[in-house]
Amino acid sequence: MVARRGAAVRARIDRRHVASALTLIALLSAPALLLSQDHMRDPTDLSGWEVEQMAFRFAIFQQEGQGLQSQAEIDRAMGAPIQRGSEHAWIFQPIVSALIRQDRDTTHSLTLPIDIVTAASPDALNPDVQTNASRENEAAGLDLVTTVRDDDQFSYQLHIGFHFEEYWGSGMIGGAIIHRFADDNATLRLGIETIFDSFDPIQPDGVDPGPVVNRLGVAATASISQLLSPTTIASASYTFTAQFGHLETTYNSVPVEGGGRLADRYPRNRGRHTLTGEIRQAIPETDTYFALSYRLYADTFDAIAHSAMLTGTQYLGDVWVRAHYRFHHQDAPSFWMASAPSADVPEWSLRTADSDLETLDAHEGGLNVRWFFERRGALTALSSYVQLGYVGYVRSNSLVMHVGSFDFGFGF
Amino acid sequence: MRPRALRFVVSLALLAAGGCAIVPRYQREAFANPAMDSQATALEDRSLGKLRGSREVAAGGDGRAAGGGCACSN
Repeated sequence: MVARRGAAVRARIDRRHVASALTLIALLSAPALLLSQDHMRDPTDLSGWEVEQMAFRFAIFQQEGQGLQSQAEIDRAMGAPIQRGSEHAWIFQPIVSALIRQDRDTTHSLTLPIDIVTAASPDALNPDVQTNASRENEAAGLDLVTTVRDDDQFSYQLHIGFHFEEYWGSGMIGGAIIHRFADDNATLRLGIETIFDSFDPIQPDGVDPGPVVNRLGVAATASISQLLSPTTIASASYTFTAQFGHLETTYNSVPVEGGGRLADRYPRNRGRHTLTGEIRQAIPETDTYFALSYRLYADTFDAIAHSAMLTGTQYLGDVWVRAHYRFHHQDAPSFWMASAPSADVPEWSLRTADSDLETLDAHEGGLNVRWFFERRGALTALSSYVQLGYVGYVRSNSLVMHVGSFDFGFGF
Repeated sequence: MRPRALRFVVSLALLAAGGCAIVPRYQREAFANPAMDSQATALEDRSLGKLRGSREVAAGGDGRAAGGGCACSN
């Protein structure tokens, strides 16, 4: 009965959000369509402000799964066996970006991502009196990256970003130095980002005890790319992120054997290391391209993850067909548990049953078709295109996600 | 660092160093192709990065906000 009522509510919300998302697409596309009426300019003229490219993406994510941290559609009776709650979710995600040239040496990349989420897990918080986020959650962000080319060898970047959800706000600021050397065969980038999050500490029972809690993250990155041959480029990157403050999702909970729930409790700081490597190979004879990447992650929660991805692209005239496969394995943090033996535990004892942090394998496969409908000379990242894509994502702990997407880019 | 891991890292470095030939500018046409340029898939990479980041423990190491509409914060 509860499940049927939940399904009906979800269907009503989903239809409403499809309509909202489509309206948003029209509004967000309007600037690009208007600007496209006046795009015949001299490509060698780099003086004055100019929009070089506008890109738009709309993706729909549909997720099904069960997680121990979720209280959705479970039997709450005392003594009921430990159950995984629903992780059903729909996400509608439009993103718009613009690449704007200020002058010969200065460009601005502006990105506006929006998420409209209906998720069963926060929807199950009871009582639902404190936040709209437990029924639906709209999030929006703004990212601005300004790049200034100083000379043939050095460029500088400044990044400013904001992110807002109904119960969450983030601010980001960062900078980077880019050094090109060996006749532009190698590029070294050193960057630092600071991220500040502030959010309502909504508890597993749906109550917000206030006041807001905070989190600070500082990430330092060193990356290098190197041409290995006229058709091969390799790159490597290392990032260290230090986080401080409330790191847990405050309304996630651990089921207690015999009934009840305990709120997640994480350490108050964390160090995260990521090491990535990638090699890209072109085969001009057949117009075929490959990319192979690997990512190693380790943190001070004792979580370790390995991810590898292979992408292949084949051109058929002005159309590319691109497929990718990604494998991910992770080992859970040391304090992950399927259940707590008793509700009588110290407040500070570390715990989480979050299925996203569980030891698991994830498989991801995707296919997209992109048609470059306008170009000036050779194809570049600024050529105009439309693209349709699909991605399937399956986790070994029962989560499945389907993603359909439409992309449109217009080079001016 | 353990000897085997050290040997692996040194071998990789030597392999990479051996491949560091200078490629003249007139031979770099392949790198301008969208299939070789990550800028061509920036929005797609951002979107799928968020999918992975909010569903896996390895999120957040890329210097981006951990929130993002998923009502989660791994």
